Amino acid sequence: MTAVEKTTGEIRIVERTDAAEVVSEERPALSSSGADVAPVPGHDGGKVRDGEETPLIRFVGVEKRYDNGVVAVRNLDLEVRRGEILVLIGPSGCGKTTTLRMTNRLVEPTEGTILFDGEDISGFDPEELRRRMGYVIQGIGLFPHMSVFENVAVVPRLKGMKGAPLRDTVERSLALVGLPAEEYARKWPRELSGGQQQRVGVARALAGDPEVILMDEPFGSLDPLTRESLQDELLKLQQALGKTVLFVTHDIAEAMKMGNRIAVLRAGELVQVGDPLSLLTAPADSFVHDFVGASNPLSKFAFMKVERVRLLTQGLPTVRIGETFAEVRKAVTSTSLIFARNPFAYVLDYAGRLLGFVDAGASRDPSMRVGPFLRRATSVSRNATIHDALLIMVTLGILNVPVLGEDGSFLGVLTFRNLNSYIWEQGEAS
Amino acid sequence: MFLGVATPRFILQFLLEHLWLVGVACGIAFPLALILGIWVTRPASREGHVARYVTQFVFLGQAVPSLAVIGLVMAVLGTGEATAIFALTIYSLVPMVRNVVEGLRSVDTAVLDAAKGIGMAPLGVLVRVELPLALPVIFAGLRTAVVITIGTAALSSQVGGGGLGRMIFTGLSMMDTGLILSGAVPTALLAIFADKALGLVERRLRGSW
Repeated sequence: MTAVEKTTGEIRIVERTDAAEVVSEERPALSSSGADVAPVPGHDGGKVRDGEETPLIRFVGVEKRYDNGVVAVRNLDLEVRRGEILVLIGPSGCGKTTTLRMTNRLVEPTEGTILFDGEDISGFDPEELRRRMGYVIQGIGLFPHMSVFENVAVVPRLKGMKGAPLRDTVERSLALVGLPAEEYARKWPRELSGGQQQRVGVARALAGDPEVILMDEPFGSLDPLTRESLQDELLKLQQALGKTVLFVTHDIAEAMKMGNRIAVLRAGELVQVGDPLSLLTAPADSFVHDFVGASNPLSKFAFMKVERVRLLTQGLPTVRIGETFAEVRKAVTSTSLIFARNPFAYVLDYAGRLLGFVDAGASRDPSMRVGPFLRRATSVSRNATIHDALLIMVTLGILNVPVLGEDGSFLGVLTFRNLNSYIWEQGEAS
Repeated sequence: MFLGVATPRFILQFLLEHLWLVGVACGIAFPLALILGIWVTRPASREGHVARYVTQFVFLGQAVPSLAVIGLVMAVLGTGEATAIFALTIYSLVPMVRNVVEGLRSVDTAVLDAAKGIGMAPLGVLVRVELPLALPVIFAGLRTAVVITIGTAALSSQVGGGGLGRMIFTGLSMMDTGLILSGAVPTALLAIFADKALGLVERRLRGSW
């Protein structure tokens, strides 16, 4: 049996769920060149203006010195751009949480200015400011004496919402985090799993339609599987809503996955800020180099897209959906594709989209149509990372994986041989 | 002979006197305890020394025997109802403040951080988050205080406070078991009843979470 099976659609899923979590979706905001992240025009309620230059949040010479003389953050200059996920990372005590908490005035800086949408936050009423910024923390902090509905309704209520609009807002927020209101709105927090509780935590942060969401190790207390799925959903959500996110973590894998840009802090000082690939390929110093794991030759492939690799487009074993096994035979005998196990042919529809595959040996009758024998094929999006593609191929023991465009069109096949030579070239280049 | 004193009419009168003493004392002490407990747990006063001295004083107060408190107050105010009420108020304050403080301090810091971080004002955090969450502990303090005060109020008849203690002490001095019991049994029943009633109130206030 060929291991190439299952899944069509936008995200290609592998048989085991944990592997499925790893298959990342496309991340348009992430660009290997580190180019500016485009602002997201006019999402509901936000004050994002097209082509706006000012960053949403800007730290100018910010310093936090405690009474006991400890300097938590030293002379920080940093921008959070509209629509991006900026990750603050560093070892414990590096000042990342302090930086986050200064953003919504839970901690007041001793020096410097923080600008929110161009305005100094020290001029804001702290409560008003916080209501414009979502807040999600590791400890989740749901109100245990309020139902899920009441928890999510807190910020909209503070903003003066009531009645039907309030109910709609709460229901919409819950829907966004995958918790249908009719099932969950009346539950108590204690009736939910940790992952569900943090979903409510995210819904509570979203309900106020904030301009930025501050997240302090939001998934740190969850088990790895739940954490993966919440990360994936947050990425999806962030792309759909275009919210700006300031995200604190100490987990470099999480930072690499979530961040459009990553700011590395050490002992209160900003060491480097850049997109994940640039941190890997051009670390500012040995601290960043070691911290991001640049010594691992595989890690940079987590930030290179499949489309960089030359795909096999000629001599592929393909048949159309209406065709018969006679064509399948012809296709598998004339192909240049190397089969790991049994020969098979990809089945396309008449618009050139991949429907799946058929085993050449599935029917002995050459006049039999392929339709009944169609099986789902594992495929990757052109935006998938090389790392993920490699992972799929190694996990499933397959030599080829079809690559699809955003519309499901069949672009070609990523072969292990081409991938291998690409990786080899990369090694040579560096 | 003296059993005539213990007619239901007299018992009822003393019971009402007793209830009055306890009610007034706890009625004054509970709001006071709330204010004091809230004040010492606010971040601004947590850093100051005054709050710490207040809590230490209150917690130490627990160790002083009730009769000693009554005696001390009498030394200053003389005998009479006011003395009884004052002493009972002071003494019931102790478990109340203690539990208000402990209840407020027991609220999960993540919950408080979230409440503040999403934009609730300090008063909102107190009224909508801290007090509801501290309610079980605060009520445990109130119940303890009421039960103790019902007992202590019996002693306060010695300084002219009235109440069921009058029957108990008169009975004791006259070796009249019937009289003792007609004071002691209603006192005990009152304590049990008050405890249960407050339990019901608490459950009502707390809701089903």
